[in-house]
Amino acid sequence: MKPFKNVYNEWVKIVAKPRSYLGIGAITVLVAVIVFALKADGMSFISFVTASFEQTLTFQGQVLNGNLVAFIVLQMLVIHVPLLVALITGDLISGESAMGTLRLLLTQPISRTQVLASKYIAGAMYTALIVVWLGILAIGLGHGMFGSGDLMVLNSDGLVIIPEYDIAWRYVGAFAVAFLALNTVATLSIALSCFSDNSVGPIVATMSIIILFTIIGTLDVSVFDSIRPYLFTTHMAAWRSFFEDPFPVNEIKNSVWVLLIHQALFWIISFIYFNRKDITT
Amino acid sequence: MNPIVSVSKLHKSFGAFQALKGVNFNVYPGDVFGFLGPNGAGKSTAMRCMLGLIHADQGDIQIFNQPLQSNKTNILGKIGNIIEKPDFYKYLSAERNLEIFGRMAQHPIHTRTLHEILDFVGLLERRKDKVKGFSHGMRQRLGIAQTLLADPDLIVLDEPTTGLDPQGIIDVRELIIRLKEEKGKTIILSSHQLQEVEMIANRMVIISKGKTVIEGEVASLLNAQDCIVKMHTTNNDHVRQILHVSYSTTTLHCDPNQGLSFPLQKEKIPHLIQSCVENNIGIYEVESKKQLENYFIQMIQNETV
Repeated sequence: MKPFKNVYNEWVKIVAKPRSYLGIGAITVLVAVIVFALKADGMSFISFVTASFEQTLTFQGQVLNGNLVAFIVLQMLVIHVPLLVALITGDLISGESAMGTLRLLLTQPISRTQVLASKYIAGAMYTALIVVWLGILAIGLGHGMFGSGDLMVLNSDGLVIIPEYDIAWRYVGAFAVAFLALNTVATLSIALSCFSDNSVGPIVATMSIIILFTIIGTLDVSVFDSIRPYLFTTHMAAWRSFFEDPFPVNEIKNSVWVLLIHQALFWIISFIYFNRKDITT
Repeated sequence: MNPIVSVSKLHKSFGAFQALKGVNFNVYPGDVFGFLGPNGAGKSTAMRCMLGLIHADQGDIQIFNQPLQSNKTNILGKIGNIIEKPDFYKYLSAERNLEIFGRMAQHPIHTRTLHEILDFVGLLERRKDKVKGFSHGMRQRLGIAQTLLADPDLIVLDEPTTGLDPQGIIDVRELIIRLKEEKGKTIILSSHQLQEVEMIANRMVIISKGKTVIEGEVASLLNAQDCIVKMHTTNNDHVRQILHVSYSTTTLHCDPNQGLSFPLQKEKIPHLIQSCVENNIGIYEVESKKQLENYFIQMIQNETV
């Protein structure tokens, strides 16, 4: 099966590239810094958040535990991880074009659709690796250094306390949706990569689009109200919905659909363009 | 004999610029086919069209008696190529690079075959080294190794000696000759090194401004027109006078030690020798050769006119 052999090829290339370890390394350092910072002065951080409740509520047990640390880490990093993902995926086609290997790749007995599909699959694998590594570090380090306990989450509706026995599946779901959101970024950057012959352009363009859409999504201007629900950036933080009570099934389903439709759209655009593209470099 | 490659009425435009305006040529099994033209003539565009890298606007490309458009994947499985310069994944070793391209081949390529190919191009000892440490000549040889991976019937080489030092040029030339003689490959060779094409190719096409100027056997094309005659005699100045008076020919080069060189029709050479004898001019050496370079320039100039 050639498509799968080429997925293996793409994976070999990703693994051999030094920049692939930049994302893994950056996440490792950042998680370690956050966890050690919370260990050193976490209680003052928690007191700052819970200050408004302390007059009406009494907290028993360890509020700053591994589950809360994992949640804080996820919340802090999920904003920055798209850049680390785009750094690799934005280079998958344009990097080959800049290096000159694209013309050799496209004169092999494998269709352009298969080449592009392999890159999408390898890009998704790398994104999954980043998410899994983030999860292992956040939950593993968090539990290792802070122990376990109930999760206390502050969201727009107030304080939600999730019992310890009810947390594991929520993290699995949250990381799955976080993967979906990051894979939308990966798909966007690969699609942009088809249009460029240099590696930097698609990475910068991806981040510019994310920033632009995020600004549109957060600006409290009524003119954007109609498009806001359809922007993928609006649903980048959908993983947080797993830590709400009652559990917002429809909201999550809606986010999943929006993200999947965006991915499909980016796939279709890139497949059409890439199959018609003249390789002149 | 059916051509292995048949290209007819190939047209391609990039915006308002017409890169190809009707390129035609045929390549037959066993040919070393020279693909010549000045810079910007459309050679690379035509070659990229043949390999499916560029989509032609009009025209027909048949390879192995199959239309390229509808059998691209199958056809590409039987073609090895180097377009412009062989670029590889610099962060991978030579062997790893070949493994990547080998996995895409129509049939599995065993490690032993891969090592044989690396040995053929003289890179077996360096197979574990990363490509980023390779010289241009070594990359070129690795490029040739890559073209051989799937044991293709047709090899397309676009400027395979560009940027190489004299020894590198000789190495690549010898490799191409071995590909033809030892492995019986059909080779399409584009090069600015006309002397090289003249030495290796048996057939050729010259294209200019996106059109085919002439196509045929190298030997017959070069013999059909004027020759460049090199002559060394006891009285070169007298020979120059004879040439001027009797044949209205201007001497291209005159050196007391190396003799004269001048253009002359082949059938007039015996008359010239006879004139020399009648004028008591001793002849040390006569050599007639149609140089591809002159022929090429003449064809391009005719096309321009």
